[in-house]
Amino acid sequence: MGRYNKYKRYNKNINKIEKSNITDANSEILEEAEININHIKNIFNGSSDILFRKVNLHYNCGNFDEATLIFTDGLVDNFIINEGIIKRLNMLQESNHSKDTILNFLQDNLLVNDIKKTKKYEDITHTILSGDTVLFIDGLNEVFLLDTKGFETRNVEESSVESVIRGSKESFIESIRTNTALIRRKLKDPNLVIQPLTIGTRTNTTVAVVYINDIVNQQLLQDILNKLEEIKIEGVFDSGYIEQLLINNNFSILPQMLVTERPDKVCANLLEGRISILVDGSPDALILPVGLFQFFQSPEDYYERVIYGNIVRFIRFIGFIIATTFPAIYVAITTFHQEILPTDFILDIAKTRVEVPFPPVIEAFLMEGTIELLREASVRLPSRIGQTIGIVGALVIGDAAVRAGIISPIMVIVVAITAIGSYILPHFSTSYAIRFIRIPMILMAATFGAFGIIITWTWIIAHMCRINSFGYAYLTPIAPIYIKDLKDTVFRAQIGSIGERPLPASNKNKKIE
Amino acid sequence: MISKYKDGEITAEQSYLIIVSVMVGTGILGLARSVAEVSKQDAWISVLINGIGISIIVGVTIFVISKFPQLNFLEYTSYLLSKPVAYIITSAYVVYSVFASSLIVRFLNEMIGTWFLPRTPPSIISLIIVATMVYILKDGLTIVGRFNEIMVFAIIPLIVLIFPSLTEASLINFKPIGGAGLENILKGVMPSFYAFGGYEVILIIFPYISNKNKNNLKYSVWAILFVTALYTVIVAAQIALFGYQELTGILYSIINYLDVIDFPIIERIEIVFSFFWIFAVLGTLTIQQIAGCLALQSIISNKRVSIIVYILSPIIYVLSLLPDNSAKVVAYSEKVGQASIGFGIVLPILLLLMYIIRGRKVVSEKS
Repeated sequence: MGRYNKYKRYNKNINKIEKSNITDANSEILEEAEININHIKNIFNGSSDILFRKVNLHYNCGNFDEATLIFTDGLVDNFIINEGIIKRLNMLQESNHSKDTILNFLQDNLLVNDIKKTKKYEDITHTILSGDTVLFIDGLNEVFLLDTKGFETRNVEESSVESVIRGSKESFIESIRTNTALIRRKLKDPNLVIQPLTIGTRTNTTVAVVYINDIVNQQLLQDILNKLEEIKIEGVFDSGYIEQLLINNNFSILPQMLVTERPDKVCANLLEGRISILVDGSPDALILPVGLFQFFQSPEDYYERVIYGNIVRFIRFIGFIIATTFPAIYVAITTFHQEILPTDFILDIAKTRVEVPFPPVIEAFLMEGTIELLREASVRLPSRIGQTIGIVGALVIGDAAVRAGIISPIMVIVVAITAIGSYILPHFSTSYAIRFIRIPMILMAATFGAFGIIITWTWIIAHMCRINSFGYAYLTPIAPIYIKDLKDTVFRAQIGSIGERPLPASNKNKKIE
Repeated sequence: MISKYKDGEITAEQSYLIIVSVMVGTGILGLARSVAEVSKQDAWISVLINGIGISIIVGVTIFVISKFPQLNFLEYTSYLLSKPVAYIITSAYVVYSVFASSLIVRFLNEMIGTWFLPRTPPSIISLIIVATMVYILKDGLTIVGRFNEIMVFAIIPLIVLIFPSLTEASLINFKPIGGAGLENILKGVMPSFYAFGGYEVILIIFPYISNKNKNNLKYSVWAILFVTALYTVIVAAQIALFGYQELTGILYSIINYLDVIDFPIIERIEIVFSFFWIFAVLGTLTIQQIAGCLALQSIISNKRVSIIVYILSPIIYVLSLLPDNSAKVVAYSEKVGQASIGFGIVLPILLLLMYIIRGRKVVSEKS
């Protein structure tokens, strides 16, 4: 009779499921494990990496219920599944639990970090796909979500893009959990909030917004969260996607978000009231809002003593000017303003250019083009070969071009200094901006001389004045001027004398009290 | 958003830098010559007197218009001087601003033609300058304010460049101090006025300061005094170097002043000077023109300033090409200098008088 009732209930529920929209994510699970499991098999279209492991739960009187563990092969830690769950469930055979106490037994004895309960299919699929395990028990309209994540990740290694000589060497990896742990280890503050979001209708990527609750500007935070929630996209594979979807000047040549793989840099910026965004699968954290001067800062400035920090920062400004303008100045002088140099000097330059058949601007573009090719090539090649290509290419091609008489030696010097100058900034994305400023600058210098350089700079400055990063003007604290912020952005203040937090922070309390 | 200020507004700090930026510009070139023609070796005293006088006027101006913090130029002049007069004055300001801007474009053109691009036609240079101006202006005062904060830094190299030539100067050229006579010294104030001109934009832009406070007056006056000190030093240095007789024969005396000393590597230091000077003048130009655009905007009560920028710019372009030669440009500049007296001195005094007569009543009624 009981058997019959169960069958009737089964049929009724089958109908219920067929009637209800099967893709409805909010539909709730039922008491019959078999229906649930079939439904889940449907959801995953029978994928081979979703494993269904059946286990029997024994009671004291020799009866048993069927239980099923569902997890994604490769995303779980097999040790936890075997030792922490299956072995424990088998232990029930020896104990004498009644059906009522079995749930408590599970709560107490499964060796996993975290056990949650849910009734929704949406949670279940998400859990399985993020490497956790779902435990179905027949006759229960609830499932257990067991934390069993244990997929292969890269080790925390030394930062290759932003290396420093002094200071922490660790860098972010592709696993968001490790990354948040790296931040948490440096900032042991209960106010540090790591707020998770899921973006991407298909990739379901975890995105974490990290901030310090009592420092961050709440309005800014709300604004960013709203923007993130509005994002409609199928897939997110790197933080670059989020960066481009968030900024409002996508056609600007200037970088508008700090991209870093250094946890110490993220922490320092969080303390200044900025917000960081981490994306699962990307070793690069985003920091916002930022202005131009953040791109000149490296954590090392603060690890070394104040004078060195300031000098290094000053050198970076000079490097920026050289990298953007130096070839243009050379072209302008040789084309228009020979009289600015002393006669001997300009004669020397003229001697080296006697055999060169091109005007300086063609020379400049030939060399710049070669350098750009080398740069792209050396990025794609394995690092050892890449370095060789870079050095050999520059030396050999430069030397051969000079011997062949198509390029003057001074041009090679100019372009080499420029190339070095463009690497001086601690952020890689800045080097794109420098390259794309330099080319129009050379063209304008070839057409209008020094006046062309002035006009190009004027346009760039006007553009910098115009753009902003979430309401934070790009040239802050110079335009608009905030004198208090100047001493630790353009300059590098003495540690301990920094005083108030800079503009993005809402809580202006003293850093050191 | 965390922007503190609304679009189209500036901060008080920006307004001080705007005053410096708008004053240091084209006038610096011929200042020493035009003043020394009148007040001889005491030209620096004339400049000093003028600067102090102007700082008083600016103090008065800000004192009066800070009583009307919510009103723009047209509205507070309407309160004080009746509506028709206000419309006439504002329109006159727009015309003045267009002429002043075109003169600045022309001055730039002259300098670029002389030092950088002798064979490029002026029409092309003017076109590039006006296009640049439009790009900076089209989004309104906020962007212009920020732009000028950067351009103020171009003044620093100009200040630094004063010092090397001082090694050749001799103080004997100042003697006898006061020898030109009080009358000549006071007469010398007039020709120096063009170099100081531009501060009258405070009449227009003051209402757009978002965080007005009691420091506005103090720091604005300090800004004027800074420019006064700079000009006095520049004029005094040139007199000390050349003596006034020689000085009166040089059109753009500061260029020759810089050329006295030989620098290593850089043979022609005046090209470096012009390089930074052009940045400073672009700052002046943008403020002068945005003030005109804002004045016109208040008359036709248009929401977007960009349309006005597009309308006025071709006029400036054409006007900048009208003078035939440098001498005519200098004559033109003297006329504009006279007009700036109207807005820079007569109008503030008039506003003060009217404020004393009737303005107080208006303000008390409002509150």
